[in-house]
Amino acid sequence: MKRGKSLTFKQTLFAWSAVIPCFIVICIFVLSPIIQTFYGSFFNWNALTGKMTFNGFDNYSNAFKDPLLGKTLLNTFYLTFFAVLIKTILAFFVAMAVSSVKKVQGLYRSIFFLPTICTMIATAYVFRFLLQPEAGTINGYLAALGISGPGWLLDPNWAMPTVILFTIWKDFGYVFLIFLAGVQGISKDVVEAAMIDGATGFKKVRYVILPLLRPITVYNVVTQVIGLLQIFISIVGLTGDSSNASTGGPMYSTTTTGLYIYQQAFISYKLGYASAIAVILFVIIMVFTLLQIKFGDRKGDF
Amino acid sequence: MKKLLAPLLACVLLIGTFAACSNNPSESSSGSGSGTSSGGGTSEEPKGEIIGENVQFDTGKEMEGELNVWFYEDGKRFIQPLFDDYQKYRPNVKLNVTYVAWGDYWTKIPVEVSGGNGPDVFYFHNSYQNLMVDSGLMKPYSDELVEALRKDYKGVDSYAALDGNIYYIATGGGHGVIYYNKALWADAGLTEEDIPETWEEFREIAMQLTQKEGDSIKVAGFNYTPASAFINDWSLLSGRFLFSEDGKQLLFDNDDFKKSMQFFVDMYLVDGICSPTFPDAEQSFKDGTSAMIWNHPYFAGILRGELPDFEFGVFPQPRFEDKERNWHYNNPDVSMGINAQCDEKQTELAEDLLTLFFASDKYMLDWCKEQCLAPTKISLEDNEELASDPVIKVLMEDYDNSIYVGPTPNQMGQDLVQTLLDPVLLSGVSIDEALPNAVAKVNQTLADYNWKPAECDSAIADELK
Repeated sequence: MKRGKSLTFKQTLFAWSAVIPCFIVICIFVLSPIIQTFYGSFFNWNALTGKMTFNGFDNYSNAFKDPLLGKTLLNTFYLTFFAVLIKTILAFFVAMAVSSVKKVQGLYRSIFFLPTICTMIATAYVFRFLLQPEAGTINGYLAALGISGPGWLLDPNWAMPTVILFTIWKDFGYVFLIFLAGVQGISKDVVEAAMIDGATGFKKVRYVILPLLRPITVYNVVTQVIGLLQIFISIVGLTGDSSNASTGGPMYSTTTTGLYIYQQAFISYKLGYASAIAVILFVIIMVFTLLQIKFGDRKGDF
Repeated sequence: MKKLLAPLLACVLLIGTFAACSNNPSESSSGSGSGTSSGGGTSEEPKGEIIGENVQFDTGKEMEGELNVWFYEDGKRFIQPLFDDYQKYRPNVKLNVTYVAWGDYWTKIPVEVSGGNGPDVFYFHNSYQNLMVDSGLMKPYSDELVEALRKDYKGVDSYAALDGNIYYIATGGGHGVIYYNKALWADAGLTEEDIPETWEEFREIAMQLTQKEGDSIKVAGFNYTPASAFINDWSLLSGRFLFSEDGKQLLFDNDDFKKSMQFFVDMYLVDGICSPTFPDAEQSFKDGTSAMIWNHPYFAGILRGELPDFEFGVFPQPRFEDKERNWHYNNPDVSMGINAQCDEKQTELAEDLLTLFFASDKYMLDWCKEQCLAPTKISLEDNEELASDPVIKVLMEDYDNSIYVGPTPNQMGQDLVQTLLDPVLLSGVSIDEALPNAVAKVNQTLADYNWKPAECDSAIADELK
């Protein structure tokens, strides 16, 4: 491997002077809280008084015995799996379709991206009213068509699928735009060469476009998984009430691990326990991310 | 290197998000203050006019310094006169009053007080006792003030913390009442003569008020969901305590509670007077799609503020036919707290402001009137102005049936709704099946909760099992 020309002292000094301020900011606002979270997970931690009593692995053993934490993890995986799967497939095909449109492509991009730039909590509240089973607009329209609408967010069986639908609607635009950029970045020469070799229709997509989009697909999946495994703001907006009694309900069917961490930390004020769950979730995300990269990067082109 | 990038990103996003939530929020809104007078203690030679009977405020007392006060924004309409008068009586005290939106108040106040930036005096609610008092963020009232308060107010010692000190007292009591829409009530041919005394009569009236189109409910006869607070009353209505004496066990798993709960569940699932998926009680009552709801008295203040033309009535919770009386869960409003970090001088100023608040009937009258509370101040017990308010009148007439349970954990409401009521109403789980899980969940919360229930201190405690 050819080594680059070494930097002069002046250049090195300039480089460090550019990096150090950012490094300090990252240390204070990113690394320090991370380290404190990990450290705090071994303590019974009262954030208000600052009193920390060492309790070893008690928070972790309590977490593994907590049936509600298990439920929240299952909810989180369920939501993440279906939301990522549906969003990715849908965004890919819509991107393919839009890329083939010559006119008003900008309009499509704007329309699909619009929900992404709307405030999460505000859209969640609006959806909650639209989806109210007995007074909501959606079931009103369904009733006009002779269809009895489901209980949406108030039905334990429908609540999480409804959250998944909302998540897809809300974040679809971002995934779509990344795919669209990827599709448009594929060299026409490659596609035409493949078509001359007889790859048309499905074969063109399967053997030419999809492999070329693998890095983008992996990026899309990894960033979505990381985001969805931490989801909680939209759940609060969709299910919360003035007393917070229904938040994450009904029957904890929409309580995700991110929401559970928030509730333990800022409603029950068990910061040590919340830190332990955050560390557990971090490890899970780390493992999932590594697996996704390993299996999505077989040709080393990520 | 590239492979390390994504896990690192995951790490940063996950714990960064969590950590961001824990950052102390800096001060947001600030308001104005005013008010004054002079005076204050209870034992010195008075220098001005004396306000109050046992808690006494000397309007001529000379005080100086600066006092920071926080109150929630909606309370400005009834608390500002106190600050205005205080400023008038104490011209050498600079009073800085900050009004904070209710939604932010309970997030900010603990963080600001613990961070050393909190106000000297602040609005408080007893449901935050575990968080604020037991964490050492509040200073107890002085013995002198407490002694005087005992003579002017009812039930002062019921609010003692585990260390025996008094950090706040109840300024007014408020238990759940039944709200009814007068127009819908009249449409159903009902008059005030029909106000029910028993839940069994109530059930008939609720059915009468229910309006349906096919299977769809257009007007719910009685809507109590989400019932996070009402569930507590189901135990008291059945003549049962809520908690074991040490506060570590929820005592719902008994036949009396099950019978009581089954009654209310049947109103939804058998009688069809409402549906578990109907819009929540408060909103649907405002919309005119619920004829009757259960709620605390504060809701009357909300209705009067938001819908001044809306005609509603209030009556006491009925009793069950087989009970001689009803018992209610008292959800009191309490007095302001003092920051534990106040030094001697600041504490003296803080108590001086509180002394004016406690001593004068004027502020307590507004406090109770605006929040629809039954006064705990003895001098206001027979106050005609309060008794003429239809909501407060109902509370005052029924106040002897009200039991203060203590500062129950905030988490309990969610535990009960999601592990008890939701499974029964939404998933068809039987009460027998759901109850042990719910009790176990609440007991898990109570295990780490440091408190002592006050149910047994009630004057009517011996009537409960």
